[in-house]
Amino acid sequence: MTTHDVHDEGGHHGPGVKAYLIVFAALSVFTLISFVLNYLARQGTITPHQSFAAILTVAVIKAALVVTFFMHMIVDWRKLYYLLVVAFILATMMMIVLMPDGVLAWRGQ
Amino acid sequence: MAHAVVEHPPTPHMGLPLPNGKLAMWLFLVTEIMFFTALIGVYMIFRNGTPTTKEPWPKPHDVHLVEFYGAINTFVLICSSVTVVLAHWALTRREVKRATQLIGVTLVLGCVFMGIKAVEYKAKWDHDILPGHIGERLDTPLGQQYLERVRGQLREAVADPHGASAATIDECQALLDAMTADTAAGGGYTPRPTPTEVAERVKHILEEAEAKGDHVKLAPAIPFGNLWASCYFVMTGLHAIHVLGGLLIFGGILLAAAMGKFGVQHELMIENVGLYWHFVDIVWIFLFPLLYLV
Repeated sequence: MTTHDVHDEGGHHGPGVKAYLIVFAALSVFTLISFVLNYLARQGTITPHQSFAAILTVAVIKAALVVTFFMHMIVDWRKLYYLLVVAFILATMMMIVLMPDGVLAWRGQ
Repeated sequence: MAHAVVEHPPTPHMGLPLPNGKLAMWLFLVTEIMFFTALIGVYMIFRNGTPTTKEPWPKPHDVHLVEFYGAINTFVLICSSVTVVLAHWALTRREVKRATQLIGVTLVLGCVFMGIKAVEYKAKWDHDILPGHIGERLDTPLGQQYLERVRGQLREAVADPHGASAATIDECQALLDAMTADTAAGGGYTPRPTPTEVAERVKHILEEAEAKGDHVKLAPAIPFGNLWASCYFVMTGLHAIHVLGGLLIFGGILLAAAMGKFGVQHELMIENVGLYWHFVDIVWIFLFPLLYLV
């Protein structure tokens, strides 16, 4: 096997081990952050709304990291965007449709 | 090794520069995204739409949910995501043995996740945090159902204390006596406790027992407890079924490896299994904060 082969395969199959380990470290830190945010909310240091927004943001960042690097979107995006964009739009629409019952009802109290 | 570069014969199909298997896996994952989005959306309606300031959504402590277990399980799944992606990486570098080892580690981590999940489910079972078992709206006919349940559980606790201290069992006996008292006894009229009063005494018994380290199985009364339990078991249960599916696949791969039938030709398959496993990880990344934290 030549180095060219390795390089070629590496290019086709996603980021390298180093990138994976960095993402792993980031995911671990983010998990810890959401745990700490929850603790702060329980202590009353931050409001439940702030902790909800922060924790959900952390979850979205973690999901984005997994999709981008572990699921190889960083190399496959151009081949698959048409699937994911549609799913993303439909999923967002579903959440928006459900929101009046979930959020507005609660606001009304 | 000239053949190294022809592992994936570029089969042309409808202009998509993508192997069929990978496209199929992504199509499947897209349906899964919609499936879990619907579940999460419905959960958010229940979570935000139903509770009031007087009757809030159950706190983790009320329903014996330990945030730490959830966080550990998140970490375990993240680790398993790394091992499966490294297994794929190893296979692209023709390191079949290392890939097999990493798949083995992934399988073990998945089993750890399921083990912790089982411990959590056991805690729900032990404390009767199950859909339909929890006392709610006790001033309606549901209160009578709650009385029936608690009466049965008190009888069981008294008949078979399971190592609970005498003081706890005495309290259970006292409550049972009050609930089954013959209202005409002694000529005087002693009303039996109402469902709300029973719930108060059950709460007291459970708190005392917890302080002493005793265990007594009595259904608590928690506003929206049944709704919480339904959401919890449906969402974590469906997620656990997905984890189980992944574990079966990893087990199959290890079996194939043991029979010497696993090799570089399975690289695409490992990538697809990895996609599925990462998706399961992502679902948990959202379920953990939604169920345990916010």
